[in-house]
Amino acid sequence: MVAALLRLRFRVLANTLSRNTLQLVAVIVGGISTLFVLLFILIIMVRVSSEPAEAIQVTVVVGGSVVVLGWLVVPLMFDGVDRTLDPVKLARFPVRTHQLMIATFLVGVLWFSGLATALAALGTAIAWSAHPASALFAVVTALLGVATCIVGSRVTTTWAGMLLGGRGAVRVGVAALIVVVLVVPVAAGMLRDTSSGAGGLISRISAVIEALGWTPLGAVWSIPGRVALNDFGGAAGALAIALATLAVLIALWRIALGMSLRSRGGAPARAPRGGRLGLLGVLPSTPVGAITARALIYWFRDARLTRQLILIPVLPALMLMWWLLFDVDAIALLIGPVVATLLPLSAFAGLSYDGTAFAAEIAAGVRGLHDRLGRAIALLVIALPATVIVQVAVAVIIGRVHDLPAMLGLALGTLLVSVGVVSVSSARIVVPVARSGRSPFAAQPGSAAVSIIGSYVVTGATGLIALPVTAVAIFALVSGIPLLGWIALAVALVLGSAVCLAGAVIGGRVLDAFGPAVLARLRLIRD
Amino acid sequence: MVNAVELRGLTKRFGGTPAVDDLSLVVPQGSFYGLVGPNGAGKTTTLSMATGLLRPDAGVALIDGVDVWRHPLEAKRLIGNLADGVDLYDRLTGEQLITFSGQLFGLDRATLKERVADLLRLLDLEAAAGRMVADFSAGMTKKIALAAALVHSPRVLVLDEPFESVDPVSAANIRDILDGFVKSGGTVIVSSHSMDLVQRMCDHVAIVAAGKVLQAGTVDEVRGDGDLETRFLNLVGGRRNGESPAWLLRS
Repeated sequence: MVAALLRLRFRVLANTLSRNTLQLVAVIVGGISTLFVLLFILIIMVRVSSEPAEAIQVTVVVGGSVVVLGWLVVPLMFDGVDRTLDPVKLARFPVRTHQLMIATFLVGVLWFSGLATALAALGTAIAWSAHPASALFAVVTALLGVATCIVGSRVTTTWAGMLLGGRGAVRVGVAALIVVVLVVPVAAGMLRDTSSGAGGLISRISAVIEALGWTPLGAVWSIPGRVALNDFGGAAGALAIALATLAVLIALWRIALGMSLRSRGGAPARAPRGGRLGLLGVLPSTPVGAITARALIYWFRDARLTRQLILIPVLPALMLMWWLLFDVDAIALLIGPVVATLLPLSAFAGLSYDGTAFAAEIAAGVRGLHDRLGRAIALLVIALPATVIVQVAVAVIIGRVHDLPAMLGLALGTLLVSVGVVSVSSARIVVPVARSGRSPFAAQPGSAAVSIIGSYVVTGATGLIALPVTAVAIFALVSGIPLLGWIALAVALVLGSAVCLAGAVIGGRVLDAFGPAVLARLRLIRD
Repeated sequence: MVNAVELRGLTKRFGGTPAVDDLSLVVPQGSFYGLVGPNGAGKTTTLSMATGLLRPDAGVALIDGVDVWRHPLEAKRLIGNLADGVDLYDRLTGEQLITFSGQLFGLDRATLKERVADLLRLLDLEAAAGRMVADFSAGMTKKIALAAALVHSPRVLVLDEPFESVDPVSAANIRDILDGFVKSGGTVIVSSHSMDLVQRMCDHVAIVAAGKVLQAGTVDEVRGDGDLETRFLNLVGGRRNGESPAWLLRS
């Protein structure tokens, strides 16, 4: 049965790719870039193998922890995981949960990211080649580590998908916000307290790394090093933590799969009375108003979009923690632009999320400009206040209120420019995304490469066009001259608004010309 | 009098194979026109090109004499389009979806309020007005899509499979709406698999297969002495004689 499921997955993959050249290209590009990353990691492993054991230990533990964290988090942010073996789809065939888990696990291994992770993990044996016993242990812990990565990614996506897939997306978002607001300052304060006594940046970092070796993220990677350093008790302890981590992850995954196999169809819907139009009844009764209202409703009701909103409070909180840890202001100053571009960048191929429902706009003969304006306004209605609030909060927290004009200029400039750029890109580019109502974390093969390349291009264009703003703002922040800060803000607002409008006009023209072609492509992706 | 819909030499290829092959069709003003054909005949592709959703490789589509691909904005105001094989903005409630569609055509709030209420009542959707379209059954989804196609009071209705999965009571109600629409001078094109329905409901019919019109005219002309289904099966072919797999419940 496992073999049959694996054959099914690769048959589906081959069929998809043979039908869709662009996706095939994306897969190849993704494969090649993965290969480069892998080579880079292996070179580091070879280089570090001649260093003292302590240095090898730091490299392996930090690198390994980052990889595990990546497997847990990246699928939530970017592309998700392959869902060919979706338990819901397979529910009518006689498949046992453990067979499905084994097959899904193997699918995870047998793809670029899985293979690269496995090879890189085995590369830790190279790093320990000067310590034969540790190298032997490294082979075993590598396999354990890879299993943790792949099972972990399934656990986070399945659970997050189940939580967000329900209609309670907004509630989950609020919950995430509360957690961040409550937990982060406490954790940050504790970090500060423990580290301030030790003093200095270096000791602070090494304390963090030491702790990392005992967390579920790093324990598995620390075992060979502990053996090399003759800390056998520590090695046994770390092994226990690693095994327990994997066991807990497998149990969580099993529970989630069991739940999704049992729950067919959504919860019984309540039947609320009509007469409540929401935003559609508030905004002007015009094409622009309707499109703005529709887009805003979707940001909160469509799990695929809501997950982007959740990042708005989470990302600044994480970056503030980093800032506390390393005490480098540049990290905190980056928060504004990052938050500002978060939503626009996630919409760089925004029509993909409409899917074939976009036919409603084509059928109504909506002007491209009206469509672009509606969507841009909807973006700004959320992102503009979010950016301002975050930026003011950051300025207060890091104690640079006097630099607020320059910081606002930096953030608002990148926001407006990125909205303009995205107005153009999303008029033409559509990528395969999970269909409305499916798990927001279901990915299509190659979509990761497309969305990563796409966001590189869009980010690059944004960075280039916003250069005047960033230059003045950075100069103002470095020199501390108040007037320059205000100039940065003025440049940001003028240039940003101009780019924003120009983007809507150009994007509108593109959409007028290519709207039906985009719809045809959306239909192709849908089937 | 200008024809309601006139298609001249419409052609569309997907890859190498033509889905619609030099297809021409004239739909007179005030007619109730049925489009029938087997699966994959090119009905949906034809209707997509006629309504401005899919750009033809060649050919012209005129609605009330307006070229759909030269003057899309003018032409699309005249069309009420129920497309097959496209999703709806299903995170809106039923009521929101109809309102949204009306607003795309620039209808003002007062007009919309009245029309949305009428449509919900006529299509038996009042109870579901506040529910998200994603939670609708297949038949209700069809009905809400039909309501969205009607709300801007078009002159020509192009309905791709409007009765698919719709219950008999609602189907009868929809037919009343369409009959009334035709009586007051509107034009309706429906594609359907149900020959009985087309024969009873429509006054004109075109039989389409392999991207071409095999025969078109008034229903009486096309069916001749027999009924429409017999005529269709003769034209299209592909009937097997009562075959059924030997292993299917023969014990």
